[in-house]
Amino acid sequence: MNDGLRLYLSHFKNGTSPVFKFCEYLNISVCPPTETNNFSVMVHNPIGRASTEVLSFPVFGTDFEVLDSSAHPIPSQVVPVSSATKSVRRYRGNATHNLVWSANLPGLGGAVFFIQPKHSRGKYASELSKVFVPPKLDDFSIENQALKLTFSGLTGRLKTMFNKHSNITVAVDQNLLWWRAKSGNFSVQPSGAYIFSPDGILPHTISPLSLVNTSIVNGSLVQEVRQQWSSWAYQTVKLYSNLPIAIFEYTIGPIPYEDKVGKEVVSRFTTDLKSNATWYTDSNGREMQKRIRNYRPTWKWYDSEPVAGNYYPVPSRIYIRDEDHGVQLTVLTDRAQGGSSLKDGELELMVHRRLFDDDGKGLDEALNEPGQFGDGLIVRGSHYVILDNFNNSTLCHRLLGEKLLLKSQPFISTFPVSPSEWMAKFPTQYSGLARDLPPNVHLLTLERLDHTHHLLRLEHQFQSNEQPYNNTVTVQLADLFTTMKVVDVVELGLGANAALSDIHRLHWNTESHGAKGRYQSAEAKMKSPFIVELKPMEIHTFNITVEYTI
Amino acid sequence: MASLAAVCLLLLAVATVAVTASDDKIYVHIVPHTHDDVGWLKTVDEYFYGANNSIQHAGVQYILDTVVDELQKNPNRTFIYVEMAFFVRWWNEQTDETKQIVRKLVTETRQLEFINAGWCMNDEAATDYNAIIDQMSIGLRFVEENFGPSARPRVGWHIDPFGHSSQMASIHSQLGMDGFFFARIDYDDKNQRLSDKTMEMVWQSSQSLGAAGDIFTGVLYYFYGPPPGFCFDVRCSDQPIQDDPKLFGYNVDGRVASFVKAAQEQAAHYASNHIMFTMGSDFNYENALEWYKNLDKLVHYVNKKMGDQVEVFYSTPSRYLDALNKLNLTWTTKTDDFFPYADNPHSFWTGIYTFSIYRFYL
Repeated sequence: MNDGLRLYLSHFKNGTSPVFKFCEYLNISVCPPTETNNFSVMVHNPIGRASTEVLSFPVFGTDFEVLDSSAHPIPSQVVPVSSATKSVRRYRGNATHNLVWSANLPGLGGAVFFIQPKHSRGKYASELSKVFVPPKLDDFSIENQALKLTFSGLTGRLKTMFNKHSNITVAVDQNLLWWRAKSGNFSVQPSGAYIFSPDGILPHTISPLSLVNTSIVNGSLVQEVRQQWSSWAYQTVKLYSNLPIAIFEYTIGPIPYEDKVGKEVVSRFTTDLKSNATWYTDSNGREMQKRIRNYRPTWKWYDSEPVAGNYYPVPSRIYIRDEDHGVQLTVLTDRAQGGSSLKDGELELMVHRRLFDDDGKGLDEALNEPGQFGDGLIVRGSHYVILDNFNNSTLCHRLLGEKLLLKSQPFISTFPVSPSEWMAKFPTQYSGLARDLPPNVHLLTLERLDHTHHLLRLEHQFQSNEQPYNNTVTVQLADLFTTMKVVDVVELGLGANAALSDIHRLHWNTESHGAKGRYQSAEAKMKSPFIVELKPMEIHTFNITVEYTI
Repeated sequence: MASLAAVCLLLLAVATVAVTASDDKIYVHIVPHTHDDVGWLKTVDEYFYGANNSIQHAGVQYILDTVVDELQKNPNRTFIYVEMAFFVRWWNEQTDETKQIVRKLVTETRQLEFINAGWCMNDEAATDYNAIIDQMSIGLRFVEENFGPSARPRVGWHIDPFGHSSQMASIHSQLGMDGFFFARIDYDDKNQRLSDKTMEMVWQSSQSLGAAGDIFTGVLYYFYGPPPGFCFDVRCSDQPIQDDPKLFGYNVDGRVASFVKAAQEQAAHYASNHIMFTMGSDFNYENALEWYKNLDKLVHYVNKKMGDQVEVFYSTPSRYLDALNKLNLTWTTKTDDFFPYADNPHSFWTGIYTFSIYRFYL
């Protein structure tokens, strides 16, 4: 990839080009190039629409300034590295802070940011976060323009969420708990890599009465409540400026093993929403599936496992709705997890598991990885929580889901030139798209097949019942891209192995209707300017022939 | 050429029978197959070469070597291959001569069929549609580029994943598949479907796409293995067909009777009089000779002795689908998905949903 980037940059000017580096441990604030040097970051945004992303890089010290791709200073904040992060990274890094800023990125493109020591008179010097422990027993809160989160002074846990734009307040308790795994002999089914087999219907607390130690980080870009349940369970609740999303970043592990009790840790949100035994989970990131507690749509539910039997896959999101009040609580994950709603108003997601028995399903091994340090695995991930009315929730979770799937990618350089030199030699901002795709349209695939052909997939990312974004949209391909003109288009089947016009499926009779049918126009070749029409949840696949314009 | 003509006649015969089959006869489609995990207890390359067999005895290269040899010995024999991650590794090591033989088996005699043909048989619970589409496309494009349109896979074949998602059904439908088969569904769901004869249905997988997301879906009977007593793999210990009456242990009559009984039992739970016997299992056919030698005999003796009740022949899932389709039956529909999966009242496979927790993000 580095070679590819160098090749890309070499198109512009002869001479030395920057070498880019990746940091695989950014999520635990470890990144040697950003900790010791002036640095630049080229951030690539793979989605087909301009995007604002909050970026965060580990640094040593507090005095920095961030310049955007025009070398103009922009606001930034330094946030001290948390004790949770230090407990995970151990000896692997020394960064004291994370330097955070909000970056505007073009669609299918990127921008370069320059980080340098602050000028003594610079008014855009990075803002130092205020860190403090909230007064005992008093409720406390953090807030941005969109949300206010109030925490209990007694327990240290989330107590209410307030959406300012939609004027919705809901009592929400969020807690980290664990299920005790069944273990042992032939008479019970133990939990294992495949099977979830909790002992009982009540999860256990991590700290006595689930009391949590807290501290607050305040600033204009980021606000955090840092929580600690125990030596192995931490969480940082974050609000970013302007974003109507509360981020719950959990850090769990190593799960204690001395007692040889298998533990399956969950994050549980408990609200007073009347969710009527119903919740929704996504199918592989796309259409939502309705789930009903203790119920199966096509056969009689036999209540043999009231917890495990109500768990469903959550590849990307889960939500409950209060139909009477028009309120929806949505949790997006950054990885697939199991999840459920075991009581009305509740949502839970399983975030980590450590087990000491094989479940007898073929693996012949307990799920008990020792990890790099021999004491077990630590898991850090984020839940993105949205509280809003139905329509706003839909828009928010679909667009956020798109970004979580295709996260912006930072390439770090310590190229020793000034921003002005860089700008003279190389572009500091680029976009592959002549115009942004509408919010309904996701750029799923753009893959070079050979010099003149590309594979292109466009997707409508809303469902037919997700008003008001379920409108049919059109995208014109001919001049969609900045560096190439589309001169010919053949629509393919989803697998890109056959022209759509060559695919003929068998017809099957049903009581309702036939299983035949294609939603695409079956024309083998489209005509310029190649206008694609997308209906809800459709994916259209094209082989496009291009002529390069630069 | 003579043998090729015989194959064509056989196919015609099957098709003709299927169209007119309103009789009580049971038509048994023998589907020789292997299920090759693209990485499980061993790595994908260990599985390919058969390395570290102390962990699990499995070597995919030998499966493809011996199957290709055995298919050439009898033009009736069929085989399906599913996991392109292995096939591509094998293909890259073959001589041009072998590749020509394989092309002929795929496109001319149609004995070897690519089924599913993604890079792997992906999990459906904890996967993202983007990755599923990509991995399916890699395999399908390999088949298209190396074997042409006549080899284009027509069947989704997810015999091992632990439950089945609507999106996977929708993707298979949009890939152009005519049907989707799998094995693992909730034990209670399966019991009800067996008694209702609804093991096969049309899955209306997408409310948004409507008919374009519909796909014919079948649940297999004996999980994805052969009927009990009929595993002829090196790793099994079922009795071979001992057909010389002069020798001790002659068992043709007993084996034919058991086979017919298994066919009748399975047919009693399916809507039509065509059934599929999945003859194979995990990493089977490492010595394909053992399977085919016994299957040849089984086909011969069942047809000879019980042909008026049960007709048995080598087939593939797509030939089975074509036979069902020609019956012009009306099928029940399904609109929800196949989660969660439980194989008994206390074994819910819902822990695996939190398995990719260790994935890192940059």
